[in-house]
Amino acid sequence: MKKYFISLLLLMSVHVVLAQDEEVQKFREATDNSKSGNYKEVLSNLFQLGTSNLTGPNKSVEFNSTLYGIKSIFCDSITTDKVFSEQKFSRNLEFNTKLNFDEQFNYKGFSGGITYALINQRDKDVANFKDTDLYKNLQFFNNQSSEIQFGFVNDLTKIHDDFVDELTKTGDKELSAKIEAINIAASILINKEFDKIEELSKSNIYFDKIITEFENRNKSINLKDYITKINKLRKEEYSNLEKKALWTVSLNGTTNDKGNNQKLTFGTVFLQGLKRLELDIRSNLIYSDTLIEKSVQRLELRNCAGLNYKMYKRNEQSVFEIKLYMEYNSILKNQLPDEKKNSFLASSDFRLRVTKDIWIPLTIKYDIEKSNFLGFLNVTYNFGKEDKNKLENK
Amino acid sequence: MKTIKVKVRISGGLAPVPIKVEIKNVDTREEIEYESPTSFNQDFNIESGRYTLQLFGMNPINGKTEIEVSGSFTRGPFHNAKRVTAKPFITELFYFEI
Repeated sequence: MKKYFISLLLLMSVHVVLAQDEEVQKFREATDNSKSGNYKEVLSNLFQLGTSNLTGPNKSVEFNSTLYGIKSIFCDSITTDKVFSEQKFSRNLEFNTKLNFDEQFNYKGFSGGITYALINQRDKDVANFKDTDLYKNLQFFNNQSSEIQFGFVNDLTKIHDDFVDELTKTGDKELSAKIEAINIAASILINKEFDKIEELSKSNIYFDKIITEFENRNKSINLKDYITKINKLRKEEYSNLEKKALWTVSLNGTTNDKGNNQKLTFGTVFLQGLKRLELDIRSNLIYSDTLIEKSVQRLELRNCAGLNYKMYKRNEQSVFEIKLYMEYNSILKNQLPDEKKNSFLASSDFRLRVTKDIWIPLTIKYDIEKSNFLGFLNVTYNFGKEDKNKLENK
Repeated sequence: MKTIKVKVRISGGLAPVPIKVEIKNVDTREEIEYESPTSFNQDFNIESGRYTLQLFGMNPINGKTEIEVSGSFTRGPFHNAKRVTAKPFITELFYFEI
């Protein structure tokens, strides 16, 4: 069975790598980097393939994708903006599947489900900055840049006209090279690639010319400072999107190796940023079959509400987060002996991002009624997503 | 009158600000402006002469923009007629004679 497991893993890896062109890979990287651990639990982006607990007793292979991600395998034109804008439903509908194995790589069952974002105001791919300071400042820069570049071309064509008889193919080449030099200088400047300027300005006079001409026209403005401001405004606009509302509903099921239903979960998550905090409300209705000695069907309701605080960010990536929340859990049907029907807990998660894909979450719970502390330390390898059932498993 | 065609294809998301095209006659300084929030394939009718064509905008955060300028040119477009950019801010300059 072990070789089937490894073959399956390899097959899925190859499939996903082939399916995702460079652009799609870039999609995932850029979006995942900026998400908090809290957000990543809720909705994946395109493809996520992962394994968990490969060295532990319970192993699994996961594949998650949005409907849009699957469609993009078969249809290249789907990324074009006009088609993309029509794919709202596809982009907000996620599938997740998981094959579970035991220590000996024997198949133990299947988990699968769907998540749909009823409200998703965090989608950076559809951001609109038209009515922002960013746009106003960019328009000012572009107007200035347009006039400056036009002036340079005007000067160039005059020089060439003086030698019009000598204009040969070589003349075209020279003019073309100068147009390219102007274009490169303008692009590098507005995109704040200042580290390239020193090297390139030895062969391209237009960096200095654009800066000098801009600052002559606008005596009180330092061009590099102005460009830094525009780039900062862009970052802020994207960062503000992370604070917008996200509301998802999901349905997940788990079967055993014989295909019998073991667990069915209907869940909902609502996230809303509040300055540096994030309101986080979750509710899960869980139907499960214990199948320990005999089949016992249980129905549980698990709710939690709290605030997530992104304490520290490095390179636009959230690296340390604290989540404080209250949990209210209730067994609606078939509570076990010695099990409380209702429990009320005050809990906190401390999450430290060690690398891009590894979070170390420490969970501390306080049983309000029994005045007991409970602690859990997990290490999660994250192929772009944390364990969605983490709250349920605690 | 001559016709030039400007084809712009944005992919990987939506452009956060409209794409702006400016076509300026180098000698008369006459100017045509065009704006679009999405991809476009637009014809422009212009007199014979020497022109700059500039294009400004922003790419989607994970996207790119392909630009193609075509027509019956006597020179150019310089430095080339087809461009692709994935940089956050788009500024593209073309020069042609028609």
